[in-house]
Amino acid sequence: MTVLLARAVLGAAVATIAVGGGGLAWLALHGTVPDALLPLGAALGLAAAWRHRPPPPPGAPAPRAVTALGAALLLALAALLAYGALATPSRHWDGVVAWDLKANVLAAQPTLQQPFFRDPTVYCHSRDYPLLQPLLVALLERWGLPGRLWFPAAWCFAVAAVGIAARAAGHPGRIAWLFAVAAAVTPIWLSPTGGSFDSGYGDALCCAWLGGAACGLATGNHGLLAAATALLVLQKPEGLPYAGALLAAAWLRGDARALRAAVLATAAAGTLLLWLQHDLRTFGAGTDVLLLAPAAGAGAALLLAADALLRRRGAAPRWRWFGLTLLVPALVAALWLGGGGADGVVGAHFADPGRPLQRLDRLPRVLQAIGTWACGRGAFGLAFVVPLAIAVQLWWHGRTSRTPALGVWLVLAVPLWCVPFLWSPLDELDAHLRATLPRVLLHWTAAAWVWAAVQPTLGLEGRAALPTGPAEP
Amino acid sequence: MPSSRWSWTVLALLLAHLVWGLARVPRVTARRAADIADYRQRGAADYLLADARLDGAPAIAELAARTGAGQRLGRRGTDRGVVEFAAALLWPRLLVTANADAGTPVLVATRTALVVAPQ
Repeated sequence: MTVLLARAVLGAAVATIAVGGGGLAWLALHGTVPDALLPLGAALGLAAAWRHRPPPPPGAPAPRAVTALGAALLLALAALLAYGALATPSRHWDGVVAWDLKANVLAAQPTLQQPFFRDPTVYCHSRDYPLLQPLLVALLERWGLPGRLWFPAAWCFAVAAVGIAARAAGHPGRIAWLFAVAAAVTPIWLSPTGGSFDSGYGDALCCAWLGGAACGLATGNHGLLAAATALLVLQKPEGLPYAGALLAAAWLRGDARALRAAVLATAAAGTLLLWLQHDLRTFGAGTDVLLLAPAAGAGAALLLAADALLRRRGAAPRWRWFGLTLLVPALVAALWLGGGGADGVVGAHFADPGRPLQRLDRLPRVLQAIGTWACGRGAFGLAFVVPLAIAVQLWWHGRTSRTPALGVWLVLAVPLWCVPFLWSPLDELDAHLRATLPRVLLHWTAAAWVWAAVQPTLGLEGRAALPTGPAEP
Repeated sequence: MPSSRWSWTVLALLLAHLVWGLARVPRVTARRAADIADYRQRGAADYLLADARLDGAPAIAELAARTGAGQRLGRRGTDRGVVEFAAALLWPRLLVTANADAGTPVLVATRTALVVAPQ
């Protein structure tokens, strides 16, 4: 069952990036996305699933009763989310104004060459926001299928990612079920409010893609890692810095294959994201892909070449930290020079690079709010407390974390959680924290569950199947 | 069996999360069903604007009744607030600041309310 599920998850990710990425490229080229792209993407996903032959998981399978109970519970919850997603269009603010409207526009005509996108006098909310989700919904609708089926499907994807990662780590089946069901019932995932999986917001899909990338990183499935990373970058503007943190984590841990997969996915998807952002912002008048693509390619080549050089020389970890301090400014400068900093959602943050320093006094309040929301509010249950407890356990016993790159990625996420509140042009901190922080934390819940699920804990982990990697610094 | 005090703690936390999450399911199911019933009964505009404590559902209904799909409707006022819903709820009509179709009414938006004005 785990093998089948792992193949299904990879197939789903490949199909989604084929449809979504392909469709967005079509839009960027000012064409009309052909309806045939959906079955073509599905066929590619099936082929990827067919070719993927993961090894059987090492731990004991779950007893049939546990499997039956777990599966019944997850089916019931998936049905609940499907009902919530399909019974009506979005019932909350962002879902209605930012996501549904664009999905409806693209369902009518899957092209940017129409007044809604091209006429500056037409009202268009968050004009340059990523179009992956609206396009996916629209393409399904054009086949007469319920487009909002993506939302419960994304929940299934995230839950499966946690379960697969737990099994691949050598946990017995019953422990994998425990982690998968625990993730599945995370309060904010099932909540009837804005932001949950059936709300139509973009944050839940962002969470699912992050979970997929974390699963790919943890299980060594680099196809899944690349596909999920590309989806993450194309889903929301936050995806690009999240992917940047992934690159930094893989770089710092010297995980060459993960780094290669993530770099290529980030460079390609980042180019597409910024190209479209610029195109939407300028009403199709200007294109900066000729600047963007070489900048992204040069950045990717620089990172991979530097990694190869350090590996060949057997460089100590401190050299990787030193290299990172040089590479980050270089890559950010490449992004800015490539047009990402010129305008749009990303550019709004680059417009005043000194702003975070001016607002450093906000940091204690931001960190306090992060702690309160992540660990002290009901919205996340114990989704962040469990990984923290496991981390303390590992540290206490002097054990090495499995998949250290994933651990580093999660640690690097914490500064990213602070960034919107220090760098955003919005001034009202408390209102901004209330509106944004729960969603930022939601993005990382699936990845946090994946990390927790692959750690040697509970004394029930069975024999280790994953590479443990060098000890964490 | 768990191998240490910390392992028991992790297991207990995991089970506590599970029980907590499962215990919420009946409540979130009922709330979701109630929201959906409310949405269907009141209609999208009334439900969404009331939920966001905004006024303007009658203006949206009036514009939807008086204009047809694909028409360009003039708008004045702020870009933020209730007009965000109006753009979504009036689709496939377009809200424009120039070159509105002749004879169509104009939507005037403040942050929290909408009114229909003659062109």
